[in-house]
Amino acid sequence: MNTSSTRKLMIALVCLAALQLNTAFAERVEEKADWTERFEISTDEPVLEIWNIWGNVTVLPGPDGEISLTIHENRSAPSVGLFDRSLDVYGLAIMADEDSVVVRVGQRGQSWHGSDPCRRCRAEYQFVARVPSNTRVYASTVNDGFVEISDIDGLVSADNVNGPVEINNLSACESVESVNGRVTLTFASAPDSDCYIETINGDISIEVPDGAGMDVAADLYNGRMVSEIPVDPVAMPARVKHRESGESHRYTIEQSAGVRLAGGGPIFNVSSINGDLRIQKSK
Amino acid sequence: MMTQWKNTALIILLSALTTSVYAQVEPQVINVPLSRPGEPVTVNIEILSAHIEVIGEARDDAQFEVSVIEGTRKIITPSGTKNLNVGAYSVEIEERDNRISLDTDWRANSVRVIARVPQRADLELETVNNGTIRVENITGNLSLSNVNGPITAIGISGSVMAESVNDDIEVIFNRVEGEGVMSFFSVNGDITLGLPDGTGAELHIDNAEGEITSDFEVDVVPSQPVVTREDNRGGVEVKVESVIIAKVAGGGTVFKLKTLNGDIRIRKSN
Repeated sequence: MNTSSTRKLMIALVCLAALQLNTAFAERVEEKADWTERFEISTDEPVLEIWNIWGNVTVLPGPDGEISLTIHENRSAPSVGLFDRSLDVYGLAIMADEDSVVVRVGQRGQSWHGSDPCRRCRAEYQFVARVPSNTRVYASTVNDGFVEISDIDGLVSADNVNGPVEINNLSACESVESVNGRVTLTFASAPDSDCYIETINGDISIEVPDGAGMDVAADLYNGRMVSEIPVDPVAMPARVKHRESGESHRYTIEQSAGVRLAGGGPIFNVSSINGDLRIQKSK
Repeated sequence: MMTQWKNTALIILLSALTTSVYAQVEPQVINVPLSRPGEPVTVNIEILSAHIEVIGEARDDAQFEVSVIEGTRKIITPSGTKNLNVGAYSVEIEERDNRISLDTDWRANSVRVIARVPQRADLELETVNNGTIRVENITGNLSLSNVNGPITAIGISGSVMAESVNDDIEVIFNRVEGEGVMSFFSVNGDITLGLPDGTGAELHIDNAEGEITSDFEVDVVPSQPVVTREDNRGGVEVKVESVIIAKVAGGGTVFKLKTLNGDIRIRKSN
């Protein structure tokens, strides 16, 4: 094959690739929308749950008696047929009553194992929720997003898979988890409830006011523990578990490393495989 | 005299420092019911650095008392780095069909296990560093391995294979069972074998530097060096081993006793 033939073949291949790319993009169906919804709340202890898959979840304080949701949707699929299917598989469901608002992307109890029910579909949502400050908040996302919660007095639970979780001016947390992202908790005042915090690959930062009492039970594998605040070592009680699986019985003793701040207080169980734990003074 | 006093003071100081840094945690006690109560159990404990103690008792379950001596977890604070009394770790005990295994994760720095098990038990116990193995009152087959610590087995009925590279081995039998070969191997430790009076035994003794003493009258049997040849990919390995064969009470179970730098003592166990 001479040089001229080679050049022609290369040009033909590039044109073919460009055509295929163009076809792929041309066929992809995409829709974007922005809207806000408001829900009247009459209870003294409102609840907000947001279960997202792609995108951010932000929760901020708003006026009493109302939960508002600002939603940015960006839905796309490789074809019209799959786009319609994505509305079912990755549909947005909002359930509200006078006590609570529950927002869910995707089918409840959907299995993420095995075949992809809507290949190359994507339903990206950016949620900004404004809630009465005493709202009990559950916030969760999976990919390409963060979970950020600020100035909420109610109990908070939050989790992410491939992104960070940041909770500012927190009063009480129940559980905060991220598989591959960092977790940052900043307390407005001394914590008054136990909290469970876990990452696999992310650093964990807990900021508390000077003088705040708490016990930290740390279960770290590869990370360091650093504290800006004076701490005293404390022996935490071991956890003993029994599991029965078929014909075998397993008994596990799990012991955490304990440190006490300012005479102790609620217990923060902190667990990470590769992340550091930093205990810092609130700025 | 002065040097001796200084050494004693140094030992006391080091002990105090070690106690403060490696504070021991309250033991956790776990009772493990058996799948087949009343039948013999097999216990497998392999931990890198551990004091392993197994005691045979008249019981139908097993009890494990586990504590971890820690000192590696640290926290960096404004006043400097502090050691925590307790580091994080996990210990798992599994029972399946009367076989019990105990395992720890790598963070368990130094473990102390006291297992109380039915008297009829086969044991597979192994540790490497800063560890000790102690067995009491067991009827069964014992496989005991240590590298840098002693092995002690007292009140044993059954058979024993014991190996400690750098420390002593002491095995005292109540009764010798089985026709198989028992083996006791050390490089730098003494070996003490206790046999009940009247037990027939054939002792294969191999030691280079230490003394050999026996409470029993023995008949030393003339023996030829044993030559073994092994073809390997890298060539041929030829071993010539010369052992002393001594029969007690006319001979019986074969006990191989081998140590390079230690003494060998055969004594009466009752």
